[in-house]
Amino acid sequence: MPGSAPRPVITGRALPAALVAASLALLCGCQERPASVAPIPVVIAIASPLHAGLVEVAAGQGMFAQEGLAVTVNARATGPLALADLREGRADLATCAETVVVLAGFQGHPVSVLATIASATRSTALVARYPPVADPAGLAGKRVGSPRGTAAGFFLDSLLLRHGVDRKSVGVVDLGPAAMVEALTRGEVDAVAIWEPYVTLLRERLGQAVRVFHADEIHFETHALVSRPGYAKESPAVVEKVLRALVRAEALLRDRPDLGRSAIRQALKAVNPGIDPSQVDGMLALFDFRVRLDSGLLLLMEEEARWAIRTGLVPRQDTPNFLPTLEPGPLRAVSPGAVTLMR
Amino acid sequence: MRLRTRLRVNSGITTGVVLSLVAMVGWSSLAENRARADEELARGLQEQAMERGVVRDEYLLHPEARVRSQLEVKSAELAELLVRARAAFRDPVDRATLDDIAANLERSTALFHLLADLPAEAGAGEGTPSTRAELRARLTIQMLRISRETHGLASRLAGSASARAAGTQRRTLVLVLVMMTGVVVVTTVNAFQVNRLLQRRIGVLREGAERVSLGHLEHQTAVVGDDELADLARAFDAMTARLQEAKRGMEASNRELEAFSYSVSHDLRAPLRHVVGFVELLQQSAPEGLDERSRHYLQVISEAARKMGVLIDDLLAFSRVGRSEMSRSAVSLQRLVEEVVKELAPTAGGREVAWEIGVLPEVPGDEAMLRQVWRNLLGNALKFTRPRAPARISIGAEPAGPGEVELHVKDNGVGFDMQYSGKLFQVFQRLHPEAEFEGTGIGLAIVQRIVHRHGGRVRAEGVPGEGATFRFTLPTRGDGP
Repeated sequence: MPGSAPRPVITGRALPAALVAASLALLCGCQERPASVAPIPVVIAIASPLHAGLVEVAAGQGMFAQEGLAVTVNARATGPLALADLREGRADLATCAETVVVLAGFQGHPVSVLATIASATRSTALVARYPPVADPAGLAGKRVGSPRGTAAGFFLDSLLLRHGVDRKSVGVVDLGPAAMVEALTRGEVDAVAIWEPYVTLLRERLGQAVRVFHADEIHFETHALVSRPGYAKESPAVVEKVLRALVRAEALLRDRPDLGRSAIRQALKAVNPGIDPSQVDGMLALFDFRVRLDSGLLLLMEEEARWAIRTGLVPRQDTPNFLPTLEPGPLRAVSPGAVTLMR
Repeated sequence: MRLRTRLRVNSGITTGVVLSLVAMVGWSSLAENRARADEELARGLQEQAMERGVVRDEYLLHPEARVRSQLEVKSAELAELLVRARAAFRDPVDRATLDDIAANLERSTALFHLLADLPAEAGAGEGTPSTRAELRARLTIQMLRISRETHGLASRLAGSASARAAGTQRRTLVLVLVMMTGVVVVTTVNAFQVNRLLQRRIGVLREGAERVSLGHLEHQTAVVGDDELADLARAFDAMTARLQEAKRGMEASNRELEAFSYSVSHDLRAPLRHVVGFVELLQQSAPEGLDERSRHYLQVISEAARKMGVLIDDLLAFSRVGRSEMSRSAVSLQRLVEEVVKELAPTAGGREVAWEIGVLPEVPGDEAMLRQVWRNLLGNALKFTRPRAPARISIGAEPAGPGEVELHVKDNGVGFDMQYSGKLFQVFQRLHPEAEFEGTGIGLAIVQRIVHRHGGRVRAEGVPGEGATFRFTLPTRGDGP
């Protein structure tokens, strides 16, 4: 799996800069963070450098270091893999789509959502071989590849629903993102439901042989920063520092997009060496990178829970209450306006 | 820098700051009002979006034409508010939020139409009733999500406007404090410099004035500078130079006049002695050859000549006081006064006289001249208290200024009318009839001349029938004229 190697954030060049900054702060009488205090190590497992763009900006532009954190970013291929790191103690925090959070909860692995850090309607798409698939309505009786337990599954279901295709008429094949390209190229599947940057990679690879379909009106996904339940109460300072760095990364991406995009581009290249850097800006334009926590997330999670129950992904049960899953305290402390929960 | 320029700089800075403060407060008030209006607009947007959502949900439940028209009205009102908000909000982040709200409204409208048309679309045979219900639910969830997001965005917009208003207030306060501190520092420094300059310049001028008042007309302040007080010092120097020149001229004239009066007085004595001598010879040689009237005439001539002799002697004495060289030494005024009192006491003719002599200092001066001063003043006091029993004469001293002492002789005699005080120190001027109080009227003129020669001043105060006080000053340092 490319990009799975840990990437330490405090480099040989960044360390002297951090020491100089700390010394200056001491000279100015700002002794809240004495130079002698070592940075706090934090490991964040991310599902995608693109979706976790703010994490990459905060890491690449030194915002974590400025908060006194030594953050290691571990890129995983999917959200479930990132959550596995969190569950098994290899990471302190993780990022993944809200669908992954819902399904993990059903599987007895609840997590706490600290914030959403990105949202999009077109970051996930259906890439279909053409022919035979001319439009989504033509998916009936076809085989569609999709990574199990991810937001792509819910996207595919919404797309089918939107176009009146019976979900039972479609054969869904569990495929990892890397395996999809080969499967689609070899014709083992007729289409794949997958997220960026794989959509762009497939289009680049297969050109006119594929068509790409979105579900604009019906699909909306978010990417969340999550922790083990209780982590925010055990380490409130760490969580607030991480969130503060992400808020600053959001501002940098807004005010100095060149700097922010450069950090994401580098991180993406490290994970997907085959990606054309000139395509990255187009992918980034699909995302709304904002740190927030709002009621819309609850609506989405509840709908996804209903979908999971209805489609038999999880045993039949009542729709869970996801409100306790949300941990708004730290974000409210860092950026009060970013929390707009109406319940 | 000239004082006028310094003062103009100070008042210029103060005026500038006051005008800036007025402008800032005005600007702040306008900016705050604008921010509050924006906040109100954002709250209106929030409220309108919510109302539209309620009507929309009602339509989805009951798709009636009445509700649809209400929804259209609400949508139009919301769109209008959005246009107004776009014109009002200038901050890029706020404008991005407005763009998000507008995009959400578009998406929400698209979803609404999709939902409103769903039965017809799905009724074409695509999907089962259960999947249609599922699709409707999922689209509705998206619409609700967008509504909540829009509500949050409008709330954030209002928060941003509110923070802007608070920020404007805070910035204005900081600016006002900074400017006030600045003006206090600048005006204090300037005032300190002006004060220091004034002290320095005025000190030089005061010292010069003191030196000149002690008779040092050659004194020059020699101030260097281009401010008004330096100009004043230079004018002072020019004035003292002119005074010295005038003094030299006056001294020359005085010397000539004194020489002339001495010469006249001296030369008058010889013919006067002849007149007196021959009158006496005439009276003695042939008293029987003269009738009564002629003897009377000779008597008048003799007395007039004798009196003229006295006047000439006084005039000569007065003249000598001005001409003679001063022999300076430290003179004990205490001793001098006690000796003069002892000398005068027998002339009181057995009258009861109460002498009160205070503590008197030692001063530099000509002892003989100063003795003459006391002799004349105390003699006058003794003479003009003749009608009093007991007569009270007090002598005292008090400091008069730097390097100066004031002495006084006070009596309870006949006094004088202050309107004639100007005549008191003139030669041969008298305020009382000679028949009552003898004398030629030269004594006080001599006193004044001696005091002036010592660099002092003399004055008199009196009340008819109550007494008189004569005061004169003498330098206590030995650098007088």
